[in-house]
Amino acid sequence: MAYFADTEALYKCLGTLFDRVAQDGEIGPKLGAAGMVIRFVYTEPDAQITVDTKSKVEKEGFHFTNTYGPCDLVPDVLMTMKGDVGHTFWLGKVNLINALTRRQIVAEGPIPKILKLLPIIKPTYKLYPEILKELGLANLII
Amino acid sequence: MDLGGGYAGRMLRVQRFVGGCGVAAGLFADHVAAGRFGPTDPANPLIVMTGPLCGTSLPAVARFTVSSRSPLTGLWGESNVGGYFGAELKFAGLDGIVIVGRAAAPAYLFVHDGGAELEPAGDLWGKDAYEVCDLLAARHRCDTKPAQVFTIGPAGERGALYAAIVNRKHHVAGRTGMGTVMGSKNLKAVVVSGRAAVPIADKRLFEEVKKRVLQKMRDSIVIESLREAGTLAVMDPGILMGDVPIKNWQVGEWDAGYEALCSTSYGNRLQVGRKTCFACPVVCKREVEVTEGRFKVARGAGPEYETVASRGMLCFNSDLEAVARASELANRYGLDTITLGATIAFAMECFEHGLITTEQTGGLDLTWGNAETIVRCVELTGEQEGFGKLLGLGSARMADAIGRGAHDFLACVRKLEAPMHDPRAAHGMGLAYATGPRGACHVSSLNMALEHGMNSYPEIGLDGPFEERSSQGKARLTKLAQDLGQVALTSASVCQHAASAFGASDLRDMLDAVTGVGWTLPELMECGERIWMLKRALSHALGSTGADDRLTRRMLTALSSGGASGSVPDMELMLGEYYELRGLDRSGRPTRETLDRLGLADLAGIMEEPR
Ligand code: SF4
Repeated sequence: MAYFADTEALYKCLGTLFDRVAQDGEIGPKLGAAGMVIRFVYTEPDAQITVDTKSKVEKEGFHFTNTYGPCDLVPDVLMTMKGDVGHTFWLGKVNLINALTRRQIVAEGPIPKILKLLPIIKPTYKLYPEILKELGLANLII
Repeated sequence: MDLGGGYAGRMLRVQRFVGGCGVAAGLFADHVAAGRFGPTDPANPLIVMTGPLCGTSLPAVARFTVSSRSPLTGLWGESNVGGYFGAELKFAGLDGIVIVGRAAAPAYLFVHDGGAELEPAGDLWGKDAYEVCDLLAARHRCDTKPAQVFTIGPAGERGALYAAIVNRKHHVAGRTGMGTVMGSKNLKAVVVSGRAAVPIADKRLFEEVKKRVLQKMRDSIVIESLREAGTLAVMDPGILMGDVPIKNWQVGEWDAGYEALCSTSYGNRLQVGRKTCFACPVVCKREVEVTEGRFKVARGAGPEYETVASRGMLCFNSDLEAVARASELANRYGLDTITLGATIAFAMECFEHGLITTEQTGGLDLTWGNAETIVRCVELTGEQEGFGKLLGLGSARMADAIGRGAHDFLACVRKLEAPMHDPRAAHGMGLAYATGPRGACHVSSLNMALEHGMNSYPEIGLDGPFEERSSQGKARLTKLAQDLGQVALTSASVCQHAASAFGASDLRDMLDAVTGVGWTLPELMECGERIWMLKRALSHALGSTGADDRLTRRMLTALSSGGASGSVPDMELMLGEYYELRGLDRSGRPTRETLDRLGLADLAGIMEEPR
């Protein structure tokens, strides 16, 4: 069975994570300095999250802007994957190189720039299980 | 012997050993059979050998090998290097050079179309490798192009056990101390220059396979990353999977270090340009420059991943400019970057535990991460002065000299320091290290490409994906990865980085197009198996046994944090399965049947009486 029953469930989990990261005093500014628009397109369930680290940030306390659902911004990097792959990735259980070479994650755009972000996003692998616990979804931690 | 192409045509055994290091091992075996010699004895042959693809316009095939009895390990030694020298040797009409004896006075060898002369090198002795590259390239020009120079620095002249040989400043044959052997022969450099083209047996297939592999390289994210970030590209995912050893293999995470030493930091703070090897479109070499601060670096060859990891992460040193300075010095002196960094990290741990004091170091403070000290250690080792004499022994012999538990801090196999890829993060790599013919080695097998998920080889039954932190099935994986690696990487001398984009049948087609020999894939795999077994037999003949197929305690101690936390390779399980697959007896020795099957029966004799 898929980790996320529907689109709403995906946004609830990954959305909380992405917003928390955008406000995080350590990771937020570093990701915010990346100067890219990264779009994650999920299937099963269908969803779309656009992370904009390029434009001026409107929301107080945020270091970059996340948009959930359709968005007009043209992405620099597009990453398409199943919801399950997205979930396990943020738990630190996916070897990104492996997933990319085997096309479990299909990426368009400058992949090396994404790989360079890996050390920056590393702390999120600890953050995501905490968030799942807070949301009462500890059963999704693998 | 009539060969279709690729070879200069004067060797007889290429079909059994393909070329490069395989042929070198075959030649070396004849010398071992003929009599005893130590690593620095004149009789020890220094064998420089290219593979059949080198010098053609195929991408990423410019590499070649240098082999001999290693002063560092006492065993079979080999070092694989890229650059321009190998291709130029082919243009001069030679596949390789075997150097024996010792010159009465410092000399260099000049090889050119159809001829070779030994020239006096009194004026070059004592000069660093960069100076010699410039001087000799200018002295020997061929039409408009400079000659290619392959030279040692002062470390090789003065007997540091892991001296390297340098081509065009960026390309260093470092591992196992081949520069020390060269220095012991009073040979400062080999200079080559030629005009010949490498013959191609099947031009139509050549163009077809070239187009195919170039397209695969364009589509490969690994190649794209290497182009973008150089070899530092492996640092970023490596950090996540726990591949990068920290503080002499004791620590699983170090965020400040990652931040300071990652590829972004390198790009922003050091990089000023990019360089490549002959005919390679990857362009993974970096040019760096540091004009301000304590550690200035003249514009030139930048540190590779192994240097940043070993002089940085392993020494708990987050000063990237110091790493770059230490790298420049190591290249100029001509030192193997991996052994050097590992030995300094080992010394730092000994210092922490009081096994080395400032009395031995000549006042140097070897506290973890002391950037000034790291740079000074490189200078002392290159000069072979004071504490540098101890560092010049490498970590294993240094531990022998220190005693008192210092061996617990080692990370090496057969006295060769492990490269900067942690086997706790990929268990098969542990087996590849333990059974590597030259000692702990990451470039003679394709374990890394397979276990890190960069490539798979379904044509030889290696489809994957493979669970990195598991020992199950890794004996089979490692045997096949070594057999293919012995053919592709060490003998056909395809660059390991590019091999992450090629399939096994691409390799077969490349060899077929160039040589016309018509090997099938199973035949090539058997060549790989034969080459591995030949080197194994050579190491047995030189005193190694199956008891050396071990990782050190340090490498088998679980980490408490990081990507590889709690993970330890099951060496017992893997070795048991591996010996069986390889046809080794329970003590790890090649059986008579195995040698017969691979056409190596004549080696049984030399293994009887270790030399
Ligand atoms: S990938 Fe890099 S090391 Fe390999 S041949 Fe090309 S430039 Fe040289």
